[in-house]
Amino acid sequence: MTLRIKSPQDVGAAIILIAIGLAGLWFGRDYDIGSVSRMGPGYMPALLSIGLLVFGAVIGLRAITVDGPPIATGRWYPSLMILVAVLMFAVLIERAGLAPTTFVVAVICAFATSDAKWKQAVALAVALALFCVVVFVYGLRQPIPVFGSG
Amino acid sequence: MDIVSNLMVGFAAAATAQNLFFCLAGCLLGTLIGVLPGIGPVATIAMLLPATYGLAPLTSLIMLAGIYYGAQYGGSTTAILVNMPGETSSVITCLDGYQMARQGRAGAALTIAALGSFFAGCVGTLTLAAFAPILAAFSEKFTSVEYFSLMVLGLLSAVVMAQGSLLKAVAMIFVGLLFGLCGTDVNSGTARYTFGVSELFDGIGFLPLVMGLFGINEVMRNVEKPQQREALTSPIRNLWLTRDDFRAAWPAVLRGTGLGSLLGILPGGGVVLASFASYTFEKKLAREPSRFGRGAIEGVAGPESANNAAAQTSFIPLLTLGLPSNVVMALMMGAMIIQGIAPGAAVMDKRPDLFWGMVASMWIGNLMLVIINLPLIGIWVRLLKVPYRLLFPCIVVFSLIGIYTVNNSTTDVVLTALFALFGFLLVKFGLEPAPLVLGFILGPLMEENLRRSLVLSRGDPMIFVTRPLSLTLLMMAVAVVLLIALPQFRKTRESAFQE
Repeated sequence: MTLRIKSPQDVGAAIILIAIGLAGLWFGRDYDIGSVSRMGPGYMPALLSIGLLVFGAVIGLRAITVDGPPIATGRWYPSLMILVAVLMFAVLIERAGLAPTTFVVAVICAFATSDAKWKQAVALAVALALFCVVVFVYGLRQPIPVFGSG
Repeated sequence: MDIVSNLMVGFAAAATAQNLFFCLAGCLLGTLIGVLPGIGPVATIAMLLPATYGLAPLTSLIMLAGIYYGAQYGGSTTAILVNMPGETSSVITCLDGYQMARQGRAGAALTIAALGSFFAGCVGTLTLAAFAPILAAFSEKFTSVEYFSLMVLGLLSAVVMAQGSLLKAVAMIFVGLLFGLCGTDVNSGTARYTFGVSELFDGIGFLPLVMGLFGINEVMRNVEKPQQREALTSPIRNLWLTRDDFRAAWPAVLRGTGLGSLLGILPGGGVVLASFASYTFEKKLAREPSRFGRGAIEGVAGPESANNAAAQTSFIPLLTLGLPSNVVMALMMGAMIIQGIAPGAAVMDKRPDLFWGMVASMWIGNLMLVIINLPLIGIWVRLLKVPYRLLFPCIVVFSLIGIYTVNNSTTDVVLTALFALFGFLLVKFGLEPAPLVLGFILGPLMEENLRRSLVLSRGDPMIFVTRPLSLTLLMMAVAVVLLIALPQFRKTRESAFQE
């Protein structure tokens, strides 16, 4: 009998759970376990990590024995663009200020959707930047510089 | 009458100009985001959490509760008008609500949803006011042993009542518990899983976690799918119910309210279960079950009342035992903890204004929703016509500014991105992020109670089964898990969550 993956979703799930379990054990290796009556800071993390390894193993076994759904293959590009937008916000907000950050984030997000149009996206980004500056900086008095690092 | 004087305290606390304003703001914002197709109450609350951060505790909870009802309400509107449920709880409303809309009875469907919800909200609030003190008194007998067993019961029933694989859901609870332990250990001062990042010394921030897992993640999942929306059927001219509509609907509203109030209290219960149970019940009772799915008004009235009643009563376990029974309540609990309130019976004793003020504000919020939603329906309808490519940038920008301004920390924004990516992978592999959040919020409490129990028993784990109250709770937990092994229950559970 050859080993065949019957449930790709479960394989992914098993990998994630085992990875978290291993990471939990590895990064928690120096924490004091203590004893049952006097639990140290390492007790619960170790217990939970081992639990995750067990769950991962069981789900992994199930993946090669029981049929399951495939991994939904969506287009990764749009979702990735949203993530890029979030990271750009983190990079820009303290360096460039609110107005440019909002503009850049909005443009990137607009291009995450398939039916994006250049002019509309830029117009929206400008309007959004203006709106955010008025509402958050002048209205709600948040301590964020409009331009530059303040 | 105790309940009357308590509610008087509550209304006095809730009816200040400021609290009323934020209640209204919460309802409006909740409806605004909730009405967007594909975005359910959980994502809405996650996105709007930062907006409530800087407010006084009572005001912020009032606003959050308003956001919750608003989001749920907005979800029903979307379900009826464009057949796109924001979340599982409005899937049921789609069945008959959208059919009614196609027959030109959208107005009647929206009206009965609003009135049914309002009635159910009133009853739910009264149930909350009546039952909360009883449960709170009961919980005074609890020690750390019982609390630990209670949390086991709560977590297990929450995943049994939800959709998907039980094994995967329990695994996600473990992930959540582990994430919850990140930060400085209170007993030893050891920094756990902080990787030297100072922002992590107090633990993983609740806001970046839920904003990433639910808010941004929901946007990522929405842009991934090609956009196709069913067009609005016809303009809504008439919001009035006919005499026949009314006659058919009111018994369904009553039954839905009763069923919802009851199912909301159960640990693990909540709006999804309530609306599904009510729909099944109405269909069984109907003289011609074949009308269901073709625009039967009972199929809108019952589930809509049930889910709103359950939305109120699911606050009971949270406010009296400190136990969130579903993911929305976990978000409320997180918000309370951020405000420095430990949910549980102590709140009622020590801060009666806070507890009863919140109860009173629920009723006020429900009233506001009826008043603002029926006349404003035209605005929400117009919002449904705005294309996605214009909406998503706005949502993302506002969410990010929200998360950033809470601590003026870019680390929080980066964490949000990480959790969004993590959540995206989880969903791809059929793992639900909801149990993770329940585990996350209960993680530190469970560890503390387990630790204390075992100190008490000098390391003997038998303490959990030798104390009668704890044993009862654990046996209930076992029963809940065994329930899923029953073929009959399993079949119902599977069919319940099929679209």
